[in-house]
Amino acid sequence: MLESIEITKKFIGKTAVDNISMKLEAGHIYALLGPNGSGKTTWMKMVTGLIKPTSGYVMYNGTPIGIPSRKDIAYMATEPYFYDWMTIEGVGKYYQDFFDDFSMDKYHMMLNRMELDRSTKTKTLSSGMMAKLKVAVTMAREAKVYLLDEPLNGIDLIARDDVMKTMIENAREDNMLIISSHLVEELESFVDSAIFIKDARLAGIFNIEELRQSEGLSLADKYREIFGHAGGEY
Amino acid sequence: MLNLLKYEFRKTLGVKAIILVLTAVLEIVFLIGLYGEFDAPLGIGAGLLFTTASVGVIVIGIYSIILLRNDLNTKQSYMLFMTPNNSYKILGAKVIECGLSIFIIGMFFTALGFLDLMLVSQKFGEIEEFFEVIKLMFSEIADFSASTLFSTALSVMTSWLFSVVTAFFAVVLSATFLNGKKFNGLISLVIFIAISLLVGYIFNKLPFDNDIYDMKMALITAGFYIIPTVLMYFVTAWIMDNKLSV
Repeated sequence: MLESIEITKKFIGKTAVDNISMKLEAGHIYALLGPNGSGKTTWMKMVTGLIKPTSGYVMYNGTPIGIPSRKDIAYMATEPYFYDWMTIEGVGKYYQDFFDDFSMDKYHMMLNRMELDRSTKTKTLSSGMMAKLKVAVTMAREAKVYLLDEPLNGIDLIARDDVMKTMIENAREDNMLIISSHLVEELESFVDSAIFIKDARLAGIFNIEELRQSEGLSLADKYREIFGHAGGEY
Repeated sequence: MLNLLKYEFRKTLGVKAIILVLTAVLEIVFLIGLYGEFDAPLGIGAGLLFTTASVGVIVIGIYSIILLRNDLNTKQSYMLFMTPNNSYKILGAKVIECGLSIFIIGMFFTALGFLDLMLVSQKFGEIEEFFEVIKLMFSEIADFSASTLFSTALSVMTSWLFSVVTAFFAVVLSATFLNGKKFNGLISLVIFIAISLLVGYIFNKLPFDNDIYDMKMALITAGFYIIPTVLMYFVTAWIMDNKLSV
């Protein structure tokens, strides 16, 4: 279980995440939704331990996140972050060297399906190929928590299908996926819960099926309700 | 830790390859000049080899500082800081890699310089004359020998490693406490200079005859600089572990 407890991150002149508290459980695929600059990425980085919170903390299975939790938490950033000198195969070897839960066989299988050549240098990859590589290397880990920041950004429909298929295949009862994206319609087809972040604050967590049944709203409808011009204050 | 070291070596492979290729080319020029008895290539080769040797070790240190700066300030930082390694290991791998590189390359150039001088001596005179020439060149050296040369090189390399680790501290300060503040770079530079001067001042106050060509003094110098180097390492790693956001 992942618990965010009154977590806040302030940068000079800006509060990126403001007092967010929530509990997330294994066995779910969460959509993390909010406009640009709402604090999604900062929250994810705090869960990963890349950013230190100004106040509050994150607990993973009852323990504050730290070096040990990095063994169970897989993070995929929006931006390309591999070393320029690495090949696609080299990226896999790097993950194999540092993460015990990384499966080279699974990685190779995903590379083949995504038609990525192992000998290609990462610096020569197109944005679509880079997106596929990031998802492949992240999902080749048998992590307990996957944090995927904008995995569907800037890629064509076919690549998007590959990426979505890979994410769905890796969802299990003992892990959780937290996926941030602006492509609400695409996410709606496979996530079961949605976390809304507005102006750095938690605007609500909703079970998508319950939304449909109790409010008659789709995920996209709820998104418009919260973030549209008529969206209420939270 | 070994994996971290492996990748730190990999990151610096390019610059080391450039230094070694350049050295090989200059050595060939030097040897052609020496055995072909061409004065110009001999002089140019020897001069540039000496320059490469002096600059090479400095370049290795500066490149390590640039790498740390990139590892803290670019998206590639995720490659390091999302792995289950604490900052003591991450920084430790960088310090060890830099120290080993400075030591190996420094000793390599020292040995190459010694070898080249012997070749010159063999070509133009007797070995004994070679040592006489060296003694004349370094008139203040009471007892010149290979061990003096190597211990002197060791003391220079150790003090240079201290400077590099102090620069690591300044880079980490810049990325943590000073991040986003005005004159961030300038303040961290001033802190770097102040620490370097302070340690230099303390060293000069030690009750030893400050002669770096004396083997005993060279070893004392090396031993002295290890202490602030280790201290700077622990302080820097602590700051990274507790204050660094990438």
